Amino acid sequence: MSNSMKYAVALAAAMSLTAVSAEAQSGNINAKATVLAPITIAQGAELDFGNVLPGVNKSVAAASGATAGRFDLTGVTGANVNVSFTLPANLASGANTLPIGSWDGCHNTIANQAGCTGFTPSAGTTSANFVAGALYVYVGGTVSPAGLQPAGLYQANVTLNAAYF
Amino acid sequence: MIAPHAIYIDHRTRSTSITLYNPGATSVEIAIASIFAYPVTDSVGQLTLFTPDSLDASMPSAAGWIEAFPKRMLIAPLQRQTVRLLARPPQGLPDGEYWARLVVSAKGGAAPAGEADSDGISIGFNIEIRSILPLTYRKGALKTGLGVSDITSTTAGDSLMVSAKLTRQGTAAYIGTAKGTLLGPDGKAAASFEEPIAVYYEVEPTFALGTAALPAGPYRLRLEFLSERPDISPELLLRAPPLRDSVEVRLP
Repeated sequence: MSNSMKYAVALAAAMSLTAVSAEAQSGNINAKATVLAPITIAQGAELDFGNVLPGVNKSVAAASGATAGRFDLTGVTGANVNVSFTLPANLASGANTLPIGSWDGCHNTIANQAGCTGFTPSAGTTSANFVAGALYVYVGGTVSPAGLQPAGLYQANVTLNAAYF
Repeated sequence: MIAPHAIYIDHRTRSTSITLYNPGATSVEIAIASIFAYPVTDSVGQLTLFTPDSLDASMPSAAGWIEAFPKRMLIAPLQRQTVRLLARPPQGLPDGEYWARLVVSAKGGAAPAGEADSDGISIGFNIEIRSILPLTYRKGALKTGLGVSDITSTTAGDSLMVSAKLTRQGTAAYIGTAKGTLLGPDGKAAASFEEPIAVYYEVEPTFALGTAALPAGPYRLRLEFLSERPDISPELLLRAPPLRDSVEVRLP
């Protein structure tokens, strides 16, 4: 974790000031701050399937797809984190549904899919380590629209759980 | 961004606070809850959270009596919010350490989506991110310690995998750091690891040391367990004597 990040969240501070009159030319200030180690989880990139055609499966590969979703996590170097997902089987547009055929995922300690470690996000918990204080989790999948799939905006909820120890 | 990521509450004050910061460009909806869970290790030695299906009296759960104020909030871009955590333990709570996990759920303000038009199919996901953080409530004088046994090592590819059974001693969880150093025949460090550990009851973690460039032969693996963590303020950690052990290993 970088020092700049630590200092960015010097959230609890207590200061004691020596008495300084308005005419003082100089003075002493004793200040102290407690630096609280933070964690961050953010969506680094949206999973984007782009244009989807009726009757044609569309896939985005977690390990190589340019439009794979990405979550950026930070934590203490060397620490273990559990990552799990709650994933939908279908997207919905009003009463219409669009099946999600499969999900896939991979994670890496650098923001690069090359060499990432694959996992199945729909199959329970994945453990990983913050080798250098960061973890990047990529998510992809396959949607399977029907031949007569009605046009529309299809949406679903995706939940990422990250447990720290 | 959440700070701190390890939360401690003392019975004398019965409260603490956490700070949430939204570094993003859109508002975020936050909801805070608590559950009872503690770390165990899985079949490959990775820490994982165990969440009992139901609670019984033997489980030192604080989840039912930790309240967050506010529980729900909207944090605007680049704004921060302080959340106060207040403990309302039951009357006559025995001395001891009680555990919970704080679940901080964050939802983006708007569903990300592709272009929606009358002819095409577009797809969008509503994302929720849940950060699950350890919360420890302490009452009275507590002690912790660690028992280390069953140290084993195996080679797997270009790594040496080291595992040990770690058993908590005393009346509180052992929060600390495991360090390992692989010493060559010349006594110099050839590889090492350093990982935070959390032993609530018993775990059998596995640690990896990279051995790709090391010649075959005998080595000595030195292990050390310290009750300190770089990410947690020392005054919050219960101290225990350092533990050291070493075993002979042979790299193929």
